[in-house]
Amino acid sequence: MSNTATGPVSSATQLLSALSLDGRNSAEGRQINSSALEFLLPELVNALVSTTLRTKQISERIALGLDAQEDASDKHSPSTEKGQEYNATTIPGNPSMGSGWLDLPEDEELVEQVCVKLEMVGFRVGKRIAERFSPLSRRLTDTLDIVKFICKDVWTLLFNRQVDNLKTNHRGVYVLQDNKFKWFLRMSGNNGGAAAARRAQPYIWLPCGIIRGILDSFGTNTVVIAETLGLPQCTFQIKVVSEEQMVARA
Amino acid sequence: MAAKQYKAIGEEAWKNNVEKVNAELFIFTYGSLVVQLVKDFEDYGAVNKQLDKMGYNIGVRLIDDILARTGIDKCADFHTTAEVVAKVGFRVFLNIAPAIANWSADAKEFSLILEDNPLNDFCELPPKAVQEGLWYSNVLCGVIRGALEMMQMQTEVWFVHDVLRGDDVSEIRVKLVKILDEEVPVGDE
Amino acid sequence: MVGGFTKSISSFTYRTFFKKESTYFTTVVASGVAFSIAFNTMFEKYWDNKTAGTKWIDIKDRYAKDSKLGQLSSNEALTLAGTFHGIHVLASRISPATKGSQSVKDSGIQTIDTKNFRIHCYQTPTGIKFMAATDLLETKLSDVLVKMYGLYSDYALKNPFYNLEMPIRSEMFDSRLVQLVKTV
Repeated sequence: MSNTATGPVSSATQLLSALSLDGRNSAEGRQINSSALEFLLPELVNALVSTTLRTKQISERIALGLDAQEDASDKHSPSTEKGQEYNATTIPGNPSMGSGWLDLPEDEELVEQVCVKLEMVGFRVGKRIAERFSPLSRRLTDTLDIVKFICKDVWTLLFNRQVDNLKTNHRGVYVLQDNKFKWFLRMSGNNGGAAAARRAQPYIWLPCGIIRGILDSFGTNTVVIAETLGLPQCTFQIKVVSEEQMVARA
Repeated sequence: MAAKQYKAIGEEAWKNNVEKVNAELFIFTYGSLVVQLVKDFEDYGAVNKQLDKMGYNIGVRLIDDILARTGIDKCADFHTTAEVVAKVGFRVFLNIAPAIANWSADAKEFSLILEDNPLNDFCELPPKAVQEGLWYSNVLCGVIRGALEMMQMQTEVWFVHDVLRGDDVSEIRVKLVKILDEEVPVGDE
Repeated sequence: MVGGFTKSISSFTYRTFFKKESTYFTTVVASGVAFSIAFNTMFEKYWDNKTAGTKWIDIKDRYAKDSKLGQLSSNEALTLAGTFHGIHVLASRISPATKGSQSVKDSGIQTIDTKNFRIHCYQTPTGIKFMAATDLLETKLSDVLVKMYGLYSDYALKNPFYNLEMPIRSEMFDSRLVQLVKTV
């Protein structure tokens, strides 16, 4: 993979002049406290963990020929109850209003379902971001330009910073590296990287979806995956998928 | 006097003590989340409930953030509480300051009138969601309830009107159920 | 809220504290000598009220490496904090101060002095206590303790890995706390 594309500093000026947001810049838009999202995100993840468990339980009940809805939302699968013990999620006397979060299920299949949902949530966000912020002055047709637009403009809009490094092999693979990914900045445990990386996993899929959603808006089908080598670092890999590949996948 | 003071505290904190970011990511993420919940629950009532619960979880954390940033102490009465919710809480997080209105005679209920709710930006509800009773911004009710509970006030909080449902204003009703800590006198002024 | 208690001193003591169905507090203790505060023992704990009784279910003891002064074992530290809590609540109720006909609500004990050192306490309006032990030259530590509250808010509450009512297990929080204490 050749490191041809741009570091953030070298091409920032050139890029920003090319891709102006036509006056729809941050100064004009509505501003809120960045902590609002910090508080929302874990709830988002937790809510989707709980709906995923709920769906699983309903389908189990249906499989057993039981009434699908009964108690479905209030009980959790055995794996969660185990997590709950650890988590102390429920407040006595008011069991429905626990303020703690569910652990990620141990069942990898369920984790995957949660991640797929998060990716879809991100995808819709990406579509709307593209809709609202895509530069009007110049139509972005080249994938590299779109990716640059994401690295600079979108990242600045969303995270108040740019992506640290962008690499491409010029054959449809782009690697974005953010050394201080905003959503990971306050994530910290004290039992080492692996456990933390697992807990961070759901939070990676949301931005993956956002990136894919933006590219999709420009008519580019991609697969976006991400990994962290150690919080708060995060690397996103974008792979352009051709029509044929899409069909083959389907 | 007190009202002015809290307005100043809220504005000061917003100006100098808050990392600001474009609202779109939050707004779109929230919108996309609601869409996902509607898909998962297939029931708007359940979505309302889930949003309220999420809000509650946020509220019990967020309150400490507000207090740590502003140095506000316990509120002497429910009127003051209303002021702080509207002029500090909403200001510091969403940069809006809802109006306080419609106090009940016993001073235990008030309304927050949201003229400008960021969550509603770019949002239109499908007719079905309106018919079946989705309160799109219901998370806000949960946040208020959670935050006040940490301040020893058990409350009920609900949307009365929402512009997204064709109403003229968005109105959140806050009702004090009881003081969890008997030491704090309420509404006796 | 505290089930199963007779109207005894216990329910009296804990009523304020258990204003919520369940609650918690975080305590930080630092200890120091002379002009600089040597960082010493620090612990957080979780007060469990699931049953009528109370128990500590977790504790951590860290940063004991800098100094041999003022170290407490985990259990001792717990005892101190637990006892202090009870005194804190009770003391706030015996205030003789009045304003008009109303007695003034008191925020509880802010410092306790011994011959050689001083324990400081800052209680947040939500009931979390931040505590520190210093020498007697530190007359007012509330600014620092309020800053600790800020750290708690930023690095515990906004940490998606931190579950409320659990001990804070965050290297980030720890390191910021050490930084803060070193500025004193």
